[in-house]
Amino acid sequence: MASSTMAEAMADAPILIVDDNPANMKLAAFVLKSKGYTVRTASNAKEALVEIASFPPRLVLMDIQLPDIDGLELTRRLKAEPATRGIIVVAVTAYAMAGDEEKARRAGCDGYISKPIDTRTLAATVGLYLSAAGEAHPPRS
Amino acid sequence: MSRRFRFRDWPLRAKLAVLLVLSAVLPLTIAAVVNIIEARDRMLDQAGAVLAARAEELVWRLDTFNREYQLDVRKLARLPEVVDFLASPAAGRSSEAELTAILQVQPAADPNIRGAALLDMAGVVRATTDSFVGANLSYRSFIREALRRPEFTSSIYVNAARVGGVPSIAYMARVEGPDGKPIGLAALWVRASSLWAIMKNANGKAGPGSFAVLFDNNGIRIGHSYSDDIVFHPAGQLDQALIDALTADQAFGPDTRLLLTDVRSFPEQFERARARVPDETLFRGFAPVNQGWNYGVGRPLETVSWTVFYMVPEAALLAPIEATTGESALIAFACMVAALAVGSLYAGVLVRPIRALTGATMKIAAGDLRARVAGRLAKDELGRLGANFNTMAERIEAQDAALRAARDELELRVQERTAELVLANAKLEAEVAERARAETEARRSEQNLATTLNSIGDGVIATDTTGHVVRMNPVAEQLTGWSLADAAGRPLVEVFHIVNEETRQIVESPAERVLREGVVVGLANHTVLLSRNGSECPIADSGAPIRTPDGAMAGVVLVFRDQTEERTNERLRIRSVTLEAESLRAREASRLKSEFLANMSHELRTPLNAIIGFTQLIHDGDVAPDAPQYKEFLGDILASARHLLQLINDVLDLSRVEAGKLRLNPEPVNLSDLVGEVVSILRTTAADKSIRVETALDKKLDDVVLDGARFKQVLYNYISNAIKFTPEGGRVAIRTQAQPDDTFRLEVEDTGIGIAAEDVDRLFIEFQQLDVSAAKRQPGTGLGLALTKRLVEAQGGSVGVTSAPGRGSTFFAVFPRRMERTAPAVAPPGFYGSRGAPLILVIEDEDRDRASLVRILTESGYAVETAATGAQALARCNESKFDAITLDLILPDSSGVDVLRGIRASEKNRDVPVIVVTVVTERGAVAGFAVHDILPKPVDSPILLDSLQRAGVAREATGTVLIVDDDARSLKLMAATLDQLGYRTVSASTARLALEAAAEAAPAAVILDLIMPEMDGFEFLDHFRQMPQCRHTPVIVWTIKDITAEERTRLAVSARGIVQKGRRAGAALAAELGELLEAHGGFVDHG
Repeated sequence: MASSTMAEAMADAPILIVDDNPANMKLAAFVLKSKGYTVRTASNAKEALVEIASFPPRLVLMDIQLPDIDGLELTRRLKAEPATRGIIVVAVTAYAMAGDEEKARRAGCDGYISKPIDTRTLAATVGLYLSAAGEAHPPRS
Repeated sequence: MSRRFRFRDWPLRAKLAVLLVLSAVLPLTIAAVVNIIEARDRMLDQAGAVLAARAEELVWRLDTFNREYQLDVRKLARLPEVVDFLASPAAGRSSEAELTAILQVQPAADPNIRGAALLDMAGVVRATTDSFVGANLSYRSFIREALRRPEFTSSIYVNAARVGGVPSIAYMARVEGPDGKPIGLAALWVRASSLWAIMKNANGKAGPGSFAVLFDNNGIRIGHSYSDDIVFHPAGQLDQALIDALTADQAFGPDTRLLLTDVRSFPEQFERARARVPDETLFRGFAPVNQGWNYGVGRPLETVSWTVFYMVPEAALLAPIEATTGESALIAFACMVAALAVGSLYAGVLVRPIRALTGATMKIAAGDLRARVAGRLAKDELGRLGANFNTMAERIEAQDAALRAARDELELRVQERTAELVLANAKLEAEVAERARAETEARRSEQNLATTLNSIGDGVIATDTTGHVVRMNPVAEQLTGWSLADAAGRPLVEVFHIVNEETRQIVESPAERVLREGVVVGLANHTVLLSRNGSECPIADSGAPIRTPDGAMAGVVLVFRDQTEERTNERLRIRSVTLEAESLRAREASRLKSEFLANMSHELRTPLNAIIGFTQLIHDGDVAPDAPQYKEFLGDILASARHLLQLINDVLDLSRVEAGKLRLNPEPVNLSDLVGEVVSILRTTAADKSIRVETALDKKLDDVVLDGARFKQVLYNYISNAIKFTPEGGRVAIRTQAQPDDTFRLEVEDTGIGIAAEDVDRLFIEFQQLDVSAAKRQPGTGLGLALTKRLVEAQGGSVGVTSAPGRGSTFFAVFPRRMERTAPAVAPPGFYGSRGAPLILVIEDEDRDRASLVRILTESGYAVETAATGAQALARCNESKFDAITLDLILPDSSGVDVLRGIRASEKNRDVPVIVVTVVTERGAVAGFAVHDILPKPVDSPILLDSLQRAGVAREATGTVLIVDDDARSLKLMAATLDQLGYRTVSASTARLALEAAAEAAPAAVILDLIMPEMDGFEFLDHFRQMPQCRHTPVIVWTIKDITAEERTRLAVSARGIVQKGRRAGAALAAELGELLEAHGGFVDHG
């Protein structure tokens, strides 16, 4: 299957999922893992920072509403830091009203996906962001 | 003449001399006088002592003399021969001769004894040395006296001339018989000369000129020391009886009476001798013997009752003292002369500088200012006086010179000033003439006053002092409706009729107060002037007294101003402020709404993400049914779906509370049972985490009345929260406790993570979960506590929390013990507006919103019926046909959708346009129903009216509005705007056409442009107002012209308002025009 081929190709693109809702985190992780991505998770900003330091991800799926520091603030910090500036941040949020995407972009997010996510396209969308950022491992469609 | 000798006029030198004399002589004199007085006293003391000693010596001698003869006669009286003789007078043993011989012994032995005699008890001489036997001597008083006593001594007397008239003293003793009875008297007659010899011997013994006098007890002198020829004179006036008795006695011979009446006045001695009081003191008395004053002492005799006075002449006594006094006087005089001489010389020296000073002053007084005190000046006071005088004189001289100079200067100036005055006088005369001219001018301008008054924009009425109108200007005429001709002479109250705007009470005109109190009376507000023709005009008025130049009140001037414009402005301003506040409120409500929606969206999407995501995975076969995740994912879907359901329930509850639609059913409940029910539901959840649930319930709380279901909801939220945030093995305690103020308290305490103080405030706000990581294990909606708060507050209680992070929290709620049934009072259906107008049904349960809708609609000419519940609304809909309906979607008894369905089902209102007015703005709420419009609350007037307009529900025709404007585009815009407001319009492109149209059919109002060709707006107004039917038609000026103050004043009289062109358009213009057209009277300037 084409999708499994693609997953294999992407297997070494490390992805961090930050989400405070366990079910939603589980869902995203399952979808991406099944497409071959290396996935780590964090349920708040503190955990996320620890993961980013020890497991440098290529891309972060960032929930906006987090219990400690919100996702937008966390993004701003990552983008302000030279060491983490290159990480692709994609907001994945239930804030789906008009203007929310704009807010995410202004905070430095490279992409925006509103919840509920589409399990059929999530991995492809992630692949697109990876390749659009000039990644050596663009997702193959 | 005497003036010349006045002491004060004496020369100073004489005065000084007198002073010196007085100071020298006075003490000397005083000393001399004191000396003399003392010497005199001493002398008198010595004299007294000497006199007393001499007097006592003399008394002793005289007493000795008397005692001798008294003894002799006593012896004689006791001789046996004598007794015998007298006892037997007839045949006595002793013969007369024998006895005579015995008696002869006495004179023989003592030549002083003149003779002796024996008398019987009858006083008859029985034997004597003389030859008078048988003579009865009892005529003498001393014989009678002697017969009554054992012994008696007579005073000195002069015996019968027969025996030579010898002054004698009779010494007598009674002869007693052998039986002791008195039988006769023995007597010795002794010559007084022997006694007088003793007296004479005493003369001069107490000093030169001293003498002694002897008085008997009657104050008759019987002896004297230096003369015996002047004896037997009384020293004072004797009484007549005594004189008679002594005369009868012939006591002092045949001349006795003569002697006794020749008084030799010796008053002191007379009294002392008669009183016979022993008196030791020295006395001063006048003595006839030396015709002078004497000092003397008196001493009584012991043997007889006589008194001796020893006297010394005062002159003799005081001679040495007088000599001393003379010497003293001489010395004093000598001293005086000496003092006068020395004093006079010295005074001359003293006075010399004064005289020099006097001379100098006299010269200066005479005008010689160069005079000075010459010579060397001493350093004493006088010297200084002289020096000072010289200084003074110099100053005077200098000042005099200065004064002369000043006077000259002054004279010069006076001359100058006089010249100036002459000039000024001429000028004044010119001014007077000028003033006269000015007064003529003033009289002329007085005539212009009327003209001025006529051109004032304010109404002016003047009255006389009785309050009768004397003057009015045209504005006053117009506002009151009275012409001056009609009003003149009438009382002001008839013409100027004012009432309070709100109370309609008659207000006293300020003029009346001015008349009463004579002061200026200021503006009265909220006053409406009622004109003669019944129209009203809000005014501001003031009154002031008119005074004549002398201050008397001549009348009152009343000034009043049409306030229509101001008051309309004020109303508009208030409305604008209110609208602004409403708009702010609406914006805030909108913001909160957006925030709530964003949160809602987020919270809904979060569980949906899991539901849709996992479902899709399963649906797409990405998870095989036999894969281990398959069931797990289904479980996740289920949990998320449940969460979603809970969220929806909470939101619905919250919105119900929010909309005030929460229905509470208070009933008597058993708190313990309710707590037990909730605990049993959550027991499994607690047991899963090994959490111990404890209850401590107040037994007193078994009569509580509240909504049991809502109480359980609150308790459930609290306990489930507590369990959620308490770690495994923890404890949750539930307590109820009666409070003193008729409430009770519910507490749920946990041993959970606690809440930081800064987070406590956020706890009860929607979507504010604090520690979501902890919440993940038991996800909440974020609405539980917010809902709990609303539920408790809806029951009249309150909520709160106390917490310590790490140790746990205690959530509490306070409920009233007896909750009142708060079923909202349902307003009854109502009708507003006038019959015949388009009828709108307003379905709205909220009182405020309903009132607001009713106001907007009735003000715009609609008739309104109201319904507060769905049931009411449907009942009305089945009864009447409405032109439109406004519907609130949230009603207490049924949902808006049900009501909508009912409306559509009703026969009469099947097709009626329904405008939904609600807080829920999503069209979806009424999806599937024919709804004309959905408007958000709060509804704005123009939007609602616009909506009705679009629905084809025109309000009642409000008359034709005539629009006069030469600009076609303006005409069109205004026509459209007015159309929107529901007015019929007639357009005229020139003033002439407009006047024709107005003549044809009187318009309800006119919108007038000012700048037009041919005839401008002002001219149009003049003509327009002359048409009787158009006199009171409201005219609104709509212009682009900049209006001058003068034009504004003109317009204020005839137009209702001014709206500037180009400032506003559309709805705003419409609102403003609506405001103006509805304004009742008055003038509004929106320029």
